[in-house]
Amino acid sequence: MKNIKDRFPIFKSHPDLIYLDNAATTQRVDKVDDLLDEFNRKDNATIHRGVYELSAKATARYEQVRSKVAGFLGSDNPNTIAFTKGTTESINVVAHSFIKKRLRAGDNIVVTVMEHHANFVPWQALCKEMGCELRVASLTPEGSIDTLAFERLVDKKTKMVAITHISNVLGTINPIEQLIETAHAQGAPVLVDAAQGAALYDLDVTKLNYDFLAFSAHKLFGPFGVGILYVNPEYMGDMQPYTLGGGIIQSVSANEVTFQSYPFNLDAGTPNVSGVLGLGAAIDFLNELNRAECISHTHELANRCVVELARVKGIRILGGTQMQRSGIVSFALENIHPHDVSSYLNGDGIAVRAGLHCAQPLHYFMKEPSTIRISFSIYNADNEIDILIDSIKSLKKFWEQ
Amino acid sequence: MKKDEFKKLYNQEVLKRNKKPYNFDADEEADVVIEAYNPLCGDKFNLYLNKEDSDIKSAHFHGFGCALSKASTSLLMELIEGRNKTEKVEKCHTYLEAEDSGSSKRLQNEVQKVFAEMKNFEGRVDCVTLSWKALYDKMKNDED
Repeated sequence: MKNIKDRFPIFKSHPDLIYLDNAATTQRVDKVDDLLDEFNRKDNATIHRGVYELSAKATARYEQVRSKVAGFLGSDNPNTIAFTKGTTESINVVAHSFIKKRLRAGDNIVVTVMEHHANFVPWQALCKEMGCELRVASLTPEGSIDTLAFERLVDKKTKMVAITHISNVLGTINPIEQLIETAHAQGAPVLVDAAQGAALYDLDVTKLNYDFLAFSAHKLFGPFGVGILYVNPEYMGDMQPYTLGGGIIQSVSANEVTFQSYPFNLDAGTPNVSGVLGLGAAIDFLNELNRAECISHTHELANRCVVELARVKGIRILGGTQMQRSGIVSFALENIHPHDVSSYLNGDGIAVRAGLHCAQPLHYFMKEPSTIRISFSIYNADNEIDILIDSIKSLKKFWEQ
Repeated sequence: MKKDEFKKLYNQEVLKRNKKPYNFDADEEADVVIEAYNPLCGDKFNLYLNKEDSDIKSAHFHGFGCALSKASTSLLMELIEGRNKTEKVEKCHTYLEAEDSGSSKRLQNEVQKVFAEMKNFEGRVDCVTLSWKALYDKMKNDED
């Protein structure tokens, strides 16, 4: 991963920053910043509206990104991709614009206890509203999905299975191929929350066969405020508009309205054109990378971090050594609250996350009131772990004085 | 926050009360139980108050929170024991006002003045006002 850090302008402004909060948001790569800057200065126009050159050019570029995202996920159909505000909105769209009208009282939706609130609360609220059951798959003590228990939860009444690819707290990489097979065997469609994995992991739809997939641009070195939803062609005809307004209309009269079909029925209002183009630039950057090498790099950092943390007295690491771990490590330190740890580490230029990480059900399950999360990315280096461990040891000394 | 600022914030008054908080236990038989909860960070304390006439005979607390919220709640428990309702409201109001304005002039207790200084540390004021706000809101609501 030599010289990769040079591609991220933030480290020029903060040369000593040790940024270990990549599960929350990754830093923006130069290519994205350059494109946004250029678009704003030279090419700004909205899409699908004007016939003048700037608008036509913006429209063509916007639609090219749709193809690019589809290709990134192994689909040859650009219209499988809708642009949204991010992972959270994509999941809400599926809950309200697809599954709601299929639900009947007595049906169920299956999630796991390791879901981010974004992939938990929309389903929970929908089940309450429709008189359905939310079934929550449990974990092994290691922090992996209990696949046998999961199999028992999915049945003919299951109308949706919503699972995360990678836990944003434990770092567990889930066997989504196997879980999708289990769901499909009962006829249930599957939504994959790919927020944590989309940057580096291969999520080819032809291999994994998911029905819906969501991710955000800002977690793959792109801009805030834009994400995508993939919908399997089988379900595209069932997707209803989510927000009503201009931009999604086929025809409208005083008494009637008809809408465009998916994905264009999700583009109500003026879309985040620059954000989508920024996402395109982020995907170009990802395509430049040797992603397998990036995965090895982040896994090696996380594994070494686990080993070093385990040597510090009073540290409890979430998840075991047997589970398949991505670049995320969460832990708790005896007698020192995560916010106090985070404040102290900040004094050494280390940015980590402290709290519940939008995953309260998981924290209840793990019996941890709050944790500290370290999440690595491609620009992190081995020596940053040494500085982190030294800082934690020095905090313990200060605390125990 | 730089390291020296951290050490200024996490001063002896904070560390002492974090390590040995005053009346830190769950008094399930208490006359009044008030929850102080910050959903953003997950800090949650229950305040257990026992009354004698209008005075607070005993004040205990229990729960989970950072050193600042724990120490600040501990100080609150120390200061309200033996006080009547009007005094409690006044005490909370003066303290919250001090945190809000950053001026500790009206505070009489020296330790409270130390806590009021935390106004200057961005993002941590909610920690030191958590239980004070919960108690104040409860008392104000009871008045209405």
